[in-house]
Amino acid sequence: MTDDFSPLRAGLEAMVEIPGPVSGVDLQRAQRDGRARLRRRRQGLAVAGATLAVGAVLTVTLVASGGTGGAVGPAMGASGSPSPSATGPSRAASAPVVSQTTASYTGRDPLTVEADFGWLPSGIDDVRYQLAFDGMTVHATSSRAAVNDARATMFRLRAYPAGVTPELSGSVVGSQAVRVAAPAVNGQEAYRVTSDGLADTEGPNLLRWRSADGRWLELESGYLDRADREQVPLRIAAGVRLERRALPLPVRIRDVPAGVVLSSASFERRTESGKETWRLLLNHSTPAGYFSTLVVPAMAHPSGTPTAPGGSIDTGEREDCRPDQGLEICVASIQDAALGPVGGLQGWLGKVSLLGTDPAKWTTDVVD
Amino acid sequence: MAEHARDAEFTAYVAARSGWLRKVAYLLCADWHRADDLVQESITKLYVNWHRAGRAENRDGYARKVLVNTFLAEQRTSWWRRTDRTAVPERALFAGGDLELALDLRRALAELPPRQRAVVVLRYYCDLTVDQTADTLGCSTGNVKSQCSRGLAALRRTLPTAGPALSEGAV
Repeated sequence: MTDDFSPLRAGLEAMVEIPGPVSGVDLQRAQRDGRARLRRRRQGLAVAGATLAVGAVLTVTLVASGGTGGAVGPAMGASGSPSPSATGPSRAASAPVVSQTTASYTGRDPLTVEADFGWLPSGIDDVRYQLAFDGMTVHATSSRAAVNDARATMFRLRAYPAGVTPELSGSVVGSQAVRVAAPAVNGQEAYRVTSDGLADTEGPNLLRWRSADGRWLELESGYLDRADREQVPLRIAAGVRLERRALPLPVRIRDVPAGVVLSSASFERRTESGKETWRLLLNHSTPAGYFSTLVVPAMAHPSGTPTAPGGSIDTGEREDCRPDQGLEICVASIQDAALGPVGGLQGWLGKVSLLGTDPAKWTTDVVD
Repeated sequence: MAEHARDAEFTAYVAARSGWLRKVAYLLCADWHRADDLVQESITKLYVNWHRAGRAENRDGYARKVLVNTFLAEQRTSWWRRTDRTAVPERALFAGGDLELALDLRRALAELPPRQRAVVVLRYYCDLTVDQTADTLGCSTGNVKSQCSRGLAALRRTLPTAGPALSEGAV
C-alpha cells in the first residue's frame, strides 16, 4: 500500500470523525436475538436429525416426481411447517450470510399465505409477501416512505400453525418481554407484547390474538406514533383475513436439481410514480453459495438499464438478464460457483419460464 | 457455564469493537441509522456464530466479513429503497480541509454501486490488500481490482480535486 492514497484515506477517516448521532447498537438485544436464533437452530437440528435420512430421499423423490413437497434445505429435508419452532437451519444457516438459511413450504407455490391484511391505514400501500427461514410473513409499509428510512411505519403479519402457541420470550428483542392484556379481536382472546425496559414508543409492539379456528395470529407494528400504538394494530387485526391462498406468480420453474433449495422468496407490490408495480425475488442456495432471481416488469429493473445476456450490471455481482413477455428476469450471484449445479447463469435462466404481465395468466404451479 | 463464558467474551469484544464496526458500516451506507442497523444485525450473527469467530485467527477480519456481507445482502433484498439516491444529505455547515473532502467523499461514495463502495472502503479505510479484500468479499482478486479501478474512476469524476490519489492504474 503506497501513500499515494493518503488524501483518500484522510477523507475516509474524516468522514467517520464528523459527529453522528449516539449509537443505537444494543449489545443485549444482539445477545437476546442471537440466543433466540440458536434456540431455533437447536430445535431445527433435532427435527432435522430425526428426518434427515427420510428427508434426503424424499427431497430427491419429490423433485424428480413433481410431487407436492415444497423446497427443502440441504440439511433439513422436507420438514414441513413454517412454524418458527419447526423450521430448521440448513448447513448454510450457520454461515455468516443469513440469506443462505432455508425456507420451508409445502405445495408448488412457495408463497402461500395463511392470513392477509384487510384494512390498512391510509398510505400503507406497499405489501410484501415473504417466505424466509422463519416462515411466511406479510409486510406492509408506505411506498412513499423516504429512501433508506428505517423508521417508516411498518406492519408485519404472521399466522402460527394450528397448535403452536407463540412464546413470550422468543419474540421480543431488547429488554424483558411483558404481556399486556388487550381488548378482544373479533371477540377472541388477545394480548400485546411489549418491553419493560424501553420507552413505550421504542419498545416492541406485538399484538397477538386467536382466530376463530383457534390459531394464533401476530401483528408486529413499527414506528407508530404514540397515540396509534394500541388502536391502529387492533383495527388492522380486526380486518385480517384468515385464508390459505397460494399467490399466483409470474414464473414457472422446472427441473431444479436436488440440493438447490429455496432460501427465501418475496413478492412485493407497491406504487411508484403513481403506478403500481411489483417485484418477485427468489433466493436459492446451493452447497457453494446462493444466487438470486429477480423478476420485474420490463421497465422496472433496479439498475434502470437492462443488460444483455452475459453482461454485468454495475452492482459488482455477476448478473445475467433476459427480457421476455414484457418482463425482465435477472439472475445474480456473488459466488460464480453457486450456479454450478444449475448449469450456470444461462442454465438457470433456461429453467425459468416467464408468464407475462397479465396476472390472470400467472400460476400457482410455480415449482414442480 | 459455556454460555456464560461465551457471553462474557462476546460482550468484551463488542464493547471494544462496535465503534469501529459502526464506522465501517457508516462508510458503506453513508447513514448513521442504517449503520446502526447493519452493526446490530452483524453482531447478532456474530453471537450466533461465536464459536467460529472465536476460532478465527483474525476476529476483526471475521466480524468485518460478516458486516460487509450483511450490507451487500441487504442491498440485494431491498433494492427499492436504494434506487433513489437523492436522500444523501447535502453538505452541512463545514468547510475546509479534510471535513470538506469528507463531505464530498460521502456524497461520491454514496453514488457508487454497493460492491465498488465496499471495495474502496476495505482497501482504503481498512487497509486490506487485494487478496484480503477478495477473501472478505468471496470473489477473485481480479474482480477486486476491476471493482476498485471502476470505483476510483467514478470517484475521480465526482471528486476532481482529489488529485493523484485517485489516478487510474494506482489500484
